[in-house]
Parts: sequence; structure tokens; C-alpha cells
Amino acid sequence: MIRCPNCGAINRDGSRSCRECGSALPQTETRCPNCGAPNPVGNLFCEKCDARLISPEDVVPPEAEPAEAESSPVKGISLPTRSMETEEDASDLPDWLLDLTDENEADLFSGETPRDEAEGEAPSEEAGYPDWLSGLVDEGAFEEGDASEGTSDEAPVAADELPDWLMETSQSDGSSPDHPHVEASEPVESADLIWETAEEGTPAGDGVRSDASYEGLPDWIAEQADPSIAGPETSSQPLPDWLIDRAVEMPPFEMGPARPLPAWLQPGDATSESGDFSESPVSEPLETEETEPAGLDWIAEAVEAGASSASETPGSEDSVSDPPRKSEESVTDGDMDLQPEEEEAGVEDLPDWLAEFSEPVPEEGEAVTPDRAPSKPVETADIAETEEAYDLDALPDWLSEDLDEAELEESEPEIQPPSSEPPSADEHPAEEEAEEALESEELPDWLAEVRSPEVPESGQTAGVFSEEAAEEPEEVLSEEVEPETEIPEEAPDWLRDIEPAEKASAAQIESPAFISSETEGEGSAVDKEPAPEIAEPEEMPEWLKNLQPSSPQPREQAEPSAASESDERLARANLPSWLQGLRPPEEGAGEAGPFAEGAEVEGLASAEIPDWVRALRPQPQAEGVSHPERRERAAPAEMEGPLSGLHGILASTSVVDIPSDTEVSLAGGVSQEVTEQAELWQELLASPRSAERTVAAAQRQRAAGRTWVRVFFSFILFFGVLAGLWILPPDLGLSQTPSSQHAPGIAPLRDRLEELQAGDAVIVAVEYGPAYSDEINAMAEALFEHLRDREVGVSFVSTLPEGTGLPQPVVAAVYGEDSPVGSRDYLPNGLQGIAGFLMSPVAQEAEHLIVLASRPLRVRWWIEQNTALQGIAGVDPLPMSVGVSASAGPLISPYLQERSVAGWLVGLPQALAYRELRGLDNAAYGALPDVLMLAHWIVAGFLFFGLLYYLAAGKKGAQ
Amino acid sequence: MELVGLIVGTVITLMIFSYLLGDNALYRWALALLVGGGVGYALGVAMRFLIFDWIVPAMGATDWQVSIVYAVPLLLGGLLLLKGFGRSKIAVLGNIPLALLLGVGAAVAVSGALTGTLIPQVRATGAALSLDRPLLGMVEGGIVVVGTIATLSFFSQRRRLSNEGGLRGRIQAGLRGLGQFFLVIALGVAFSGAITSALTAWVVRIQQLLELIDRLFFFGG
Repeated sequence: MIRCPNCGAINRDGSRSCRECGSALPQTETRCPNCGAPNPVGNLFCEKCDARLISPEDVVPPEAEPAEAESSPVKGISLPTRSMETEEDASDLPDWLLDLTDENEADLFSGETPRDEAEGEAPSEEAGYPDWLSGLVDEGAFEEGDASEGTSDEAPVAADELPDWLMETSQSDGSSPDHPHVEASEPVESADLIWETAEEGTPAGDGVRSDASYEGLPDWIAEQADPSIAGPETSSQPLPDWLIDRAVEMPPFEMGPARPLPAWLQPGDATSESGDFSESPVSEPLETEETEPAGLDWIAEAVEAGASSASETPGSEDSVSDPPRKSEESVTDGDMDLQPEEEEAGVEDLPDWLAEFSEPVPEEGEAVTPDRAPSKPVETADIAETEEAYDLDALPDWLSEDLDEAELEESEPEIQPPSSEPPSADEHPAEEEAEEALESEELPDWLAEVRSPEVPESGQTAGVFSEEAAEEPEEVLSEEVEPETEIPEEAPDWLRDIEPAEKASAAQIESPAFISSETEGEGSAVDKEPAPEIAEPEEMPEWLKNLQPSSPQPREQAEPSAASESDERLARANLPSWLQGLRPPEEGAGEAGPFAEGAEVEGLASAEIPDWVRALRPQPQAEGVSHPERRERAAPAEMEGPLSGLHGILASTSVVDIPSDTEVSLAGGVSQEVTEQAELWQELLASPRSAERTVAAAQRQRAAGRTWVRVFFSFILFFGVLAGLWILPPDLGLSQTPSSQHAPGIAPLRDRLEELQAGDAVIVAVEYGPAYSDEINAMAEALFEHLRDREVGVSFVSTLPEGTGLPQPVVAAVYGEDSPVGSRDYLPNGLQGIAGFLMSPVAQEAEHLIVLASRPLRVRWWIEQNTALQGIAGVDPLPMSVGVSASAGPLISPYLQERSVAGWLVGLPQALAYRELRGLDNAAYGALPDVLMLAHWIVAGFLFFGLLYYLAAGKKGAQ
Repeated sequence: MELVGLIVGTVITLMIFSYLLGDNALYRWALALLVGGGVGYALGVAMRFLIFDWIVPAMGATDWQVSIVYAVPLLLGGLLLLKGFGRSKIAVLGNIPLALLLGVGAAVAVSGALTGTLIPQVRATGAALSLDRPLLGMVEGGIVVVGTIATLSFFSQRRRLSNEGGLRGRIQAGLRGLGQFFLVIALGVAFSGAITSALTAWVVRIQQLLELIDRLFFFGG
């Protein structure tokens, strides 16, 4: 989101003009010329296609000296990209700052300022950064300062006073080997300008600067200018023409009178200076991204002050061999040394915390590694040196307090080992985001400068430290012993300001790991980094008052009224979205949430919600009061089960909540028929399941009636037969045995069996079951008596497993103990078994075949297979006789009539007739034939009665 | 022993008669006893046949030809048992004896039906119309022929021809009706035979019941 610098309206990212007032919005995105993907302003290369967003011509100045660049061991270093500031934008700066700028420019460049050449967009808005935000800015400066090997050797800041992310940020110095190399068209920053200005005094192209040329410069500037001091990397820094020209015309620096420069700006400006400590030459400012070195003028003044001090102390170049002071340690690429004399000269007017930077580091022999030298501590130290001429009275109170506190802790230098492994850029995404957003925001020049040290976190680090140098940090450390500085124990206020905010917004800003690790370590440069304690200056401009710390911790130190005022200003401040995320939360904000209704979010202006939007906002209602138009239906009571009668026990599963006052009506209406059917269905469904169904009852009645009819006729038949057997005399003669006319198969059968000789074999096929044994056994008895009389051998075969055993009682009754029955063979597989058996030698040796069957199928099998033997050579069909039950007789009659069967018996009456034909007495059967006849009459009577009933009642009535 | 068998048979008979009152447990128990006893007896007979009629002779045979005669059916029977393994690959081997059984069975049935039923029945039907028979015989033969044709017409033409109009349709409808009549007569005769068979069993059973009562209560007097 982009906040309009004019009206404060929130606009979408990428908007070019405000949707409210139409004013131009700061550019937050840069379209990739290759793929069109939006990239944050400041990116040199596209995040998607790695295409170069800024042409090399815009980055590398034509005045760059390739010889120097090639001679430099640091390759591929370029300045980070940042929006250039235009002179027009400078008008947005406060007057006092503009005055400072103008004066610095006049003093340093004799009226010709880089701003004249630098054309670009200037922040269109006075970024009212609160103190906590300025702390971030300072943090960025510290980060830059951390980039140097061994930063401040002042009293270390307590690790617990620093937020983790800040400490990690401090660790993410520009020497990080993980930082990608980025060539950026970083605006010319004051340190570079100074360095290059000093370089102007040296013979061009040789890369070696005479000490005389640095006489007017402070040591740290001289170190920057002197490649012998600053290291080989520094010699490769090209200078723009305008700067070279200025350097030629620039008179020796003299410390001017101290100006009431806000101390909090000094580290920021110093940071911005440090941002120029890159070996890559500064190109001509881009038209769109030109950044005016806003802090250039005042830094120039500071440089003048340092130069004047340096001029008083000869041999500034000897500072290389001198024990490095804090400023030396904090020098990044420039290796700017400040002589003790210079420091002492300025210490009186410097705040203590700044003076600590001027304190010489007791350790000796430590040289500053250019590619790992942090920038911010150097800048801070430089400022401290330059501020010696400043009037403390002119400083704001909050700065004065910081200075006073710093004085108490100025001694105790401590050399800290440099951070060995700076984190990669992805370890501090919040800072990168801050940098990107800051770039996109309309920051004044000085803030842009202040922000510049933060940029190396993502991209400018590569501009400060080359990849090559970053890849071998340990070697550099081994070659050059770097001075280590000590950070004052007490953390500056701006750091303290950040801490609570950071804690509160820990979820929003993920602290880079390197901060915590650095903090937990032996002490990083940040830990020991002195920082001014920011207090609200008396003459602080209005926009600066908005930068007051808002976190609870600085409020304790600051005036309560000032804190509250700062809160209000912070609330009014136009902050970019990424900064809003860093805003320290208010007390109790965690409960209500930042977006809670009516909650005042600090620093955020109340949004103007249109009335129609407000009308859509849900109205809060009292608890338990339901919407009048959407009342919940009363839960229906349970109808069944243990929960019957209870309401609302089981959750309803209605898909659509129908209001209770809604009347359902059908447009077409319901016919009377449908209504009646529905009522009938409802009645049926409402009836209990246990109710008797008329249909079932009627069926049961009919079934019971049939049962009783069946039982009735059965009892009649039973008792009739029983009575006949019991009552009827045996010789009543109700029945007559069938004659030969009615039983044509009896006589042929008798004749055929009479032809059998003694010793002949007769095969009896038993093809009936137990149910027919009483009937067929009577026929078998008559036949076996005949066979016994003919002394014929008998063999039993059957296709039924139980078949051969059924005639056993008859055989026992006929033959007695001397049973001539031979084998009892079971013929498996039915029809095939019969065919196989008939072709077997046993069958072929037999003289006759008698089939006793209860069903026509079995008889047909035997008849068919026996007939089929006629076509087979060598096999003759057997003479065959059949004794079948009465049920199979009519169906087997065609076979019997066909004469393939010699004789047959059908049922018990023909068996008795056979006995009678043979001249035997049937007295043993007694009244059985008469009773059987009686039974037939009874059954015939039943059939006749049924016929009459059927005719009388009809078919439907009978059913 | 005979008495015990008589008692048991009488009790089981009464249990079967209980079906007159509807399906009940006594009837089902007696029916299950009949079926179970029959199956068990059949299994025993089949095993006896297999062991004593095939395996023992096969193992005791000294002649290799005799052994082959016994071994091949045993091998086929063993393969048929593999059908009990369901759909496994080894069950496929059971298809060999099964195919043999079906093929041989079909051949035996067709040959037997042709030579034992179809040809003799057609011949008998034609012989019924012999002119050398007496008039009554000729009428009888005519009835047989007409009845046979009418019955075949009933099963073959059915409604397709009878629904046709005209004289042909009416003739077909008449034959169809005549065939139905012969069928009813034939079924009636068969039913009468079934009734006769059932009444015979009924009377014999009751006679045995009376015999039991006479033995138990009148000591055979």
C-alpha cells in the first residue's frame, strides 16, 4: 500500500497517482523490462528473470577508471540502488535541514553541490519517522557499521537491551559473503564523495595518494583517499567527474563552528556515508533514481571539522600503524583513521558516546579490513569527531541526554572480534522489506541517506563488499588484524525504543538469526555500538517531534508529556505499510487486536468509512437476543425413545433455516385428491407398527381354513382306512383283482419268468426309494417268489445308492436264510452307469432283467439303454420286465406297448393279480385290497365334493 | 428288533402325517431324518463301491492292463475332485473328467433316446393305423395318432398359429385344444396313478400301525 504524501489516502501498490487527490505517488515498483514483473525499487536485477532493471550505463559512470577497478582485488562491487532525490524534493525538507544542506554544500563544494547534478525524485513527503523508526534507521546505520571489521570498541551494549533482530541486523554487515553481488546506481553519498574528493588531490591514475593531499581531510577521509591506508580495494573506487572537480576546487577542510545538528541524524547521515564505502564507482545519478546526498553538506562540515583537527595533528597517515581507534575499526572500505589528537580536540564538544568513538583502541597492530569494515560505526565515529565543534546547547535535549550518558561510559574500550559469518540476505527479510518500502516511500534526503546503510542488507552489501572479499573473510581477517571497538554498555535509546516494539511485533517481524546469534556471542559490533540516546530536542521541528519513541521503554526515560505527544504524532504519521507492521503495539492491543472495533491503532489514521459501508456493518446485539426477523425455531420434541418429550436434545439438521414466520404456500394449490391422499399417508404413518393389518389377518384366516379342511379330509381318510382295516372282513370281496385284459403285462411277465431255468441269472434293477418301498416291495415279493420257484439266481443293481438295500426285507421274507442273491452293485453316474453295466459281462451273462422303479425316468433309462444294445455288435439286449408303481404306470405305458418289455406290473393290485395268476393265495394281504378300494372311493368322494364346491362357488370363491 | 423297527417307523410316519396341520418341527425333523439317513446311506454305499470295487482290485491287480482299466477311472475321479478347489488353476484339471462325463452322457442319452424312445414310439404310432387291425384297433390307433399330433401341436404351435385367422387358424386352434385335452387326460391318468400309489402307501402304513397296535395291545391276536 502506498500512502499518498498529499492527502494520506491509501493506494494500492503500483499506483502512480493518488486515487483521492490525484497527486503523484512515489514509485514503489520497477517493472522489469524483460518480463514485466514488478520489482521493488532498488533492485538491480529482476527477481524473476534476473534481468537487469537498470542499465549498466546508468550505474557505472563513464568516468570510472577501469585500471583502478581492475587493480582492485574487490571485484564487482557496486553501490546499492536507491531512489535518487531531486532538488525539488529537497524542498520538502525542513528549513533547518535545508539550511544545513545548503551551508554544507557551500562550504564543502564551494557552492556546487552534487544535488545540482543529481536529478531525481525526491521524497514528496516528510517522512515523520518516530523514534522507534529512527531507531530502525539508526539500526541500519549500525548494520552498515557492523559491516566493518571490528566496529566500536566502546562499552558494549548489553545484549539483553538489544532486540534480537537488531542484533542480527547488526551482524548482517556488508561483508556477508552470502550477499549477492549487486551493482547498484547508489547515489553518491557523502563518504564516497569525501573520499573521492580527497582522491582528487592525488596523482590521477596511480592509485597512490600523497599524504599532503589529505592534510585538510580528517584521517578517516584520508584513509579512504589513501589506498595504502584503506587497502587495495579503496583504490579502485572511481570518482565521478563532478566530484573530482569539486575535490580539485575544494579548499582544505577546516572545522567550522558547530551546528545544531540533531544527533540522531548524525548516525543516520554517517550511515549514509558508509553506504558509499563501496569500491564500485558511483555513476551519474539516474534521472529517475537519482539520490541526492542529502547529508552531504553537513557531513562535509563534519569533514571540515575533522580536517581541521587533522591539520593540527600532523601525520595523519601514520594512523595506519597507530593503534586503531574506534573510528578506524568502524571504517569500512575507507579505513578512515582519526588521529587521537583530532579526537581529543573534538572530544570536548562531542557527546560522550560520540567521543567514545574517538577513543583510541588500545590494541595494536590491528588493521582494518576494508571489505569487512563496517560503515556505520565509522560514520558515527566521524560524526563524533566532527561534532567536537558542535555546540551541545544547540543539540536537542534528548540528544544532550544521550551525550551526557555517553560521557559516563566513554572509557573502557573493548575490542570485539568481528563477526565472522555475516548472515545472508534472506535472514533478515524484515529489514529488506523495510529497505524496499523505505525506498518506495517518500523519504527526505537525509532519511534516504540514513536508510542507505540498511540497503546493504539486501543489495547494497554487495556494493560495499565484494563477493570475492566476502568469500574469504577469514583470510582477510588473518592478514589484517582489525581493530575492535567496544560499544558502550548502555544501549542507545533508539535501540531501546526498538526493543519493545520488536518484542511486541515479533510475530510480524521475524528476527534474523544472525542477530540473536551475534547477541549471544561474544559481543558483536552492534552490541558495543554506541548510539545516541534520542531525546526530544527543544528546537526539534514538528515533523521530528513525530519521531519520538512510542514504545513503553523510552517513555520511561523521556518526558511523559513528550511521550504522549509523540504517540499522538506517531498516530498521525504517515507510515508505509511495512513500517506500520513495526509499530510497537499498544498495551492491551493483543487482546482487542489491532483491527478491533474502536481500537485506536497507534500511528494509523482513522479510516474514513463511507456511510453506506457503515450501514453494512453488523450491528452488535445483546447477548442472547436473537434477530427479530430471524428467530430460531423451537427445537421439536423427541417423539420416541428415552428422549421423548425433551426439546432440543438432538441437534436439528435443517439445511435451510426457515424463519418461523414464513408461510409456505404453493402457487398452484393442492387438489382435494392430493390432500386426501396425503391425509391417508399421514394416518397410515401415524398408526403404530403393531397394529393388525387386515390383509395379513385375512391370509391367516384362509390358511387356517385350508388347514382345517385338510385335517378334516385327512381324518376322514385315516379313520376310514383304519376302520376298513379294522372292521372290514378279509374276504369281503369289495375289490377284484385286475384281469389280464386290464393288466396286459402280467401274463407276458409270468410267461417270461417261466422260461427261466434253474441256475439262470436274473438282474433286478432297484430304482425306487423308501417312499415307494411298500408298494413296490409287494410286486418284488410276487416276482421273487416266482424266481425262487424257478431257482434262478438274483443280482441287485441300482443307480440309487440306497436302492440295493431296499428289497432286502422282501428277499429275507422270500428266501429266508438261504439267500441266492449275489452281488448288489451300485451303478454310479445314472444313465452312463446303466449303459456301462448292460455292456458288462455280468449283464451279458444274465438271462433276464427286471426293473423295479417308482418313476418313469428310471424305467426309460433302462429301456433305452437296453434297446440301444441292438446296434452294437456282439451285444444283445436283455429280455426285460418292469415292475413300476401305480404313479409311473400310465407314463411308461407307451414303452410297454412297444413290446420292448416282455412283461410288466403296475402297482399293488397287479402284484396281487400276478400272484393270483400264478395260483397263489392273497389271504396274507387280508382286507388290504378292499381297504385300498375303500380309500379310493373316499378320495373319489373328496374329488367329487371339491368339484361341486368349485362349480358352486366358482373359481374366485373357491380360492 | 422287528418291533422296534415297527415302532420307529410308526412314529416317523405320524410325524410325517403332522404336515396335515401345516409345516411344523415334527415334519421337518422327520424329513431331515429321511434325507440325512438317505444321504448317509448313499455315501456309505458309494465309498464301499469305490474302495471295494475299484481301489482294492486296482491295487491287487497284477496285470498291467487290468491296472490300467482301474487306474484310468481312478485318475479321472481324482481329477474331478480338483474341482473342489474353486477357481484356482489346479481346479482346471477337473474339467477333463467333467468334459468326459458330459460328452459321454450326452452321447449315451441321445443314442438311447433315439433307439429306445423316439424310433419305437413313432413306429408304435404308425402301427396303430395298420389296416390289418380290427376296427376298434384302428380307432384306437387313430386316437393315438390324433392324440400324438394334437399334443405335439399344442407344444409346438401354441398361440402363434392359433391366433391366425381363417381355416388354417381354426384348425390349428382345434388341434391345440385337442392336444390340451389329451394332455389333461394323460395327466389325469397319471394323477390317478399317483393317488393309487399314495393310497397304497397310506393303507400299508395304517396297516402296519394296526399291526403294531395288535402286537402291543392284543399280542398279535
